[in-house]
Amino acid sequence: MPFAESLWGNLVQDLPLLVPVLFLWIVGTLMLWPLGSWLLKSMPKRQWSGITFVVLLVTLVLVFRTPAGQGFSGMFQVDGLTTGFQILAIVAAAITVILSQPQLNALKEQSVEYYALILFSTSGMMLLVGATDLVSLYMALELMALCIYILVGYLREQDRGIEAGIKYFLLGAFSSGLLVYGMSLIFAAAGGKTTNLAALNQALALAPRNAELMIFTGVILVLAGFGFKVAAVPFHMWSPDVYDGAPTPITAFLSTAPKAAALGAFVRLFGTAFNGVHGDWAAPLSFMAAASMILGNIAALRQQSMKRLLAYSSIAHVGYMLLAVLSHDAQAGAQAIWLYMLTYLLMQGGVFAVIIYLQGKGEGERIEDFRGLSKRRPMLAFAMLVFMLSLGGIPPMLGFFAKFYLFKLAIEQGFVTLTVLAFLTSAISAYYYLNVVATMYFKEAPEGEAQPMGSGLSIVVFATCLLVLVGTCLGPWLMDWTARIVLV
Amino acid sequence: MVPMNQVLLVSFLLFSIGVAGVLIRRNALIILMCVELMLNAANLNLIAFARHSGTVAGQAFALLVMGLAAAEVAIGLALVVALYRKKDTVQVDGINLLKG
Amino acid sequence: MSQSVHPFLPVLVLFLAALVVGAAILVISGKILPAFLKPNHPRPEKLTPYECGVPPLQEGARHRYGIQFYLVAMLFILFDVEAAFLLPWAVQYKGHLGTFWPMLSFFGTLLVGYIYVWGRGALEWEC
Repeated sequence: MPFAESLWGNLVQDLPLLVPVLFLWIVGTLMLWPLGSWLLKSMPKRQWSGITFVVLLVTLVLVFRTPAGQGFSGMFQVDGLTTGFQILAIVAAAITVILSQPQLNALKEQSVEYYALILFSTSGMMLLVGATDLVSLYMALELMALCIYILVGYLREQDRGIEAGIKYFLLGAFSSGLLVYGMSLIFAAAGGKTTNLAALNQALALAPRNAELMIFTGVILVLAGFGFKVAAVPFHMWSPDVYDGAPTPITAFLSTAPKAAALGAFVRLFGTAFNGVHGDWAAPLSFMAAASMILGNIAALRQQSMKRLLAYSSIAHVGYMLLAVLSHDAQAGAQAIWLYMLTYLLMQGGVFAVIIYLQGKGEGERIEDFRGLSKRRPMLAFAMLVFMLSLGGIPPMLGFFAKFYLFKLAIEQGFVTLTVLAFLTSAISAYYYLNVVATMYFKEAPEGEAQPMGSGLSIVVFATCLLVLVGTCLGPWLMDWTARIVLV
Repeated sequence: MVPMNQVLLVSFLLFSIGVAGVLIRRNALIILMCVELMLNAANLNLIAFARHSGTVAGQAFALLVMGLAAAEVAIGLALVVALYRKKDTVQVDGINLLKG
Repeated sequence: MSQSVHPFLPVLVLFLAALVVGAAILVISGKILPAFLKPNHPRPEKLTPYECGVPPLQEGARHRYGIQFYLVAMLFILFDVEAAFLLPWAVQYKGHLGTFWPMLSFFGTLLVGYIYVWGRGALEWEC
């Protein structure tokens, strides 16, 4: 049995590809068990956020040092797409960890498990974007999602927290059921011999005529499963409620990291395995993209709560990014999504830092709470102005360049109608983003003193605002740099 | 040997029962069971076709799906127990604070 | 009518139409209209099995399990199913160290989880 003989040797040989992920696993486990219980007595709980942040920075360095290659019997691959989206996941997790510190302190809910779960979830995302096999893809997706279910329901003493947790869990489990059944149909239609993505593409091309319905059903179910994960329109119902009920730092995490990872896997799966059956999924996916843009932007218009507004606007942003998934050119699509997601991540991190500052103890996330922010905190209001203009894609800002490259790709690929729709809905979105700006600058401030701002939040707001402004100046060259990092 | 069409039919029926259960039933625990039914429909497909083609990739996948389903149930039960402690019910109709 | 259409197709269409119309009537009259028309003021008294009389000692005939059962059941499911991974390996194991070390590392991972559960006191009955 040569396979069994060489299994351990091959595993050891392939391990360098997984060093960052293994590092996260080991540190997360150590935090939970020996170190967690020993150090907890000698150290205040609030230190964990700092430790987790350092761990994530080390992981980032390890990701840059990981060699490109393929391993684990074709299950996992490190290439430009993997590295690029791994960076996104880690940056999002790092921002979340800094944001968690003040909120959890205010609620007196600090615990080691919270940070360990963020680490495990990040490791799931890092596996997900490199998965080149249905088995590893599903495993990584579940590792990511299972940790986030717990994090969403983390504030289990609050009615809204546990509700959001249950809702997200039930819909997430349902979507993973759809996904696995779709995968099993694809596997069956391809002859039941392989689960490798590249091999599946070849096998699907040779599939008999009477398997066409099976392939179609399978592809649609997988599409639905991914639609749930990225909250694209017919499968978006959970998103506003969960964003509303989850702890605010987790909302920031939820709106960036899992979406980035799932979109990366989306591009890889549909660009590799389902490339040959493009006709089966192009029309449903265009429908999803168009519906997400329209419904996300229109529903955001009438929201009073800032978190719900961001939830709906996030649905709309996913709609734009699905345009790039549609592209026949997987590489260009991945690059456009990466750039868009990076800018979105920075703006979203900054906005949530401002919300957490205003929230204080978990209440008051309505748009009205931004009244007169320009008088109380001029710098903060200016940062918020930058984020809002950038999110709306107003021309000189960073968000405009990201959108520009995305739409340019879509036009080049021939999706003219969808791109025009994206332009129109993007114009609608400017209204509700500018509404927040108007509330900050032109409405009277309520009575009361401005509370001091923690150092962590200030750093996030300052750093993201600076990066958005610098990115704005460098806009025209961004795409060339992206092309160097995200080489598929 | 059982023809593959019949396997597909049975797994499709299992899957449909699961989906219908998730959409109709209002008890969180029963919804959880129906999700398991959906996963097992997929397992049936995987195992039958792996056996049909004489390779093991599908069987390994099925084993993995079982393991992950167990993890999912554990987390689901934990959340349901937390819900029960908080609101004294496991009906999903009872969770309606988040709206709009 | 073109030749390609099956002669019984109209019957199928009628059948489907009947199903849809029937379901629509049922849903509208059974679910949608009552939601607007029926009075809905649940009070604690109305929700009890007997509106007047002594309050029931138990909710219906169902017996309530302690919360500890659920905790133990959760842990049991986890370790039980993960142990299922050991079975195919054990059946095929013929002394190859190539498959021994990977399984040992898997088992070590399970062990760490077990110690964590133990250390957090989840195995104590009185929690």
